[in-house]
Amino acid sequence: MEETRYPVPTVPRTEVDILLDLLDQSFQRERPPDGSDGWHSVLSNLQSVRDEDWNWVPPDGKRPICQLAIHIGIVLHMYAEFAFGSAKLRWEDVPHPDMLDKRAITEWLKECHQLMHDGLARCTDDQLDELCESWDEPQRVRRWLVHTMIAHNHYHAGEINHIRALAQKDDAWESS
Amino acid sequence: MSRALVDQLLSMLAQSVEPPANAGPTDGWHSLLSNLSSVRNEDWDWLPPGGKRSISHLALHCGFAMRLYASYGFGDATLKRQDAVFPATQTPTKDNVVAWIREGYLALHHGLAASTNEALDDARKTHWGETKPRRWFAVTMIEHNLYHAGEINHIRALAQQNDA
Repeated sequence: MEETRYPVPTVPRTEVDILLDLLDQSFQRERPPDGSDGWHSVLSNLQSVRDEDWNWVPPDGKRPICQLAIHIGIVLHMYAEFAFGSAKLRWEDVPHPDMLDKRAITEWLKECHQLMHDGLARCTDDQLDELCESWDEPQRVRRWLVHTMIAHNHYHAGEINHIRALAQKDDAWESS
Repeated sequence: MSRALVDQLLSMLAQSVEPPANAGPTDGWHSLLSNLSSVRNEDWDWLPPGGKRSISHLALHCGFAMRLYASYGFGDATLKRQDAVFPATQTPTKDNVVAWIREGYLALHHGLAASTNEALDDARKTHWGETKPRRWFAVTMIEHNLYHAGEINHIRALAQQNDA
């Protein structure tokens, strides 16, 4: 393989490897200096959010960026609990910092992601198809819980970007 | 040759575009087409105050990107940007663009389906000249569909005044 300008992730060899790669990328993939990658992760989109954007809502908007950030963390925590943990936690009991504290929320989000990452890293490919308890339906396949978190991170990263772009009056395309 | 990684990417790519046929009520919230399904005609080109990208822009961008990434990740890498855009002979209505997105997705799906786990590590040139492993093209399109589905949902929610 030709040498790339930026290192690519370790080559995945198992289904768990590739899901770990996708999960990590959905949460924390960084944007290199030339902007040629890393457009869609939660942290790369939070990075350009200013303090004054954190609790801002556009006209007719109801959800500020801080509310989406809290939502991402709570859902990561709950899905980690039900995919890999004791499956006892209730939504209202997920601990989180003050919604207005951007720095504390960002650090807490990293902890929530790590719970999911560590649980998945302990898994084998065969265990991805095991049924897990769920908070609202009888059972879910473990793989579904992981897929949904990857999708959830990207989806809300997109929403965060749109709110930020309206707040900063620079709505535009990513660079490639 | 094993295909488990390819199959996993195929499944995730499909679900980034639309929910599976056997989707339950809690499946497919984040897919591109499920978020376009609640877009009304009057929302299609609507812009919020200060906004520059409409839902139609984002939908066209997703269809365009899947074609380019299919060509450069899995095809002959000759597709030009101007040949990946929505055809000038058609009106870019929501229905027409949704059908065109499905065609772009199928191009990517067929390219990925013809791959093997081992071939996912092959080096390929992007349309701007950088080298990436083949799987990057599939992974980036999964991310891209989901990310813009989120942006589409936010514009739709502002247009319909039901952000929640």
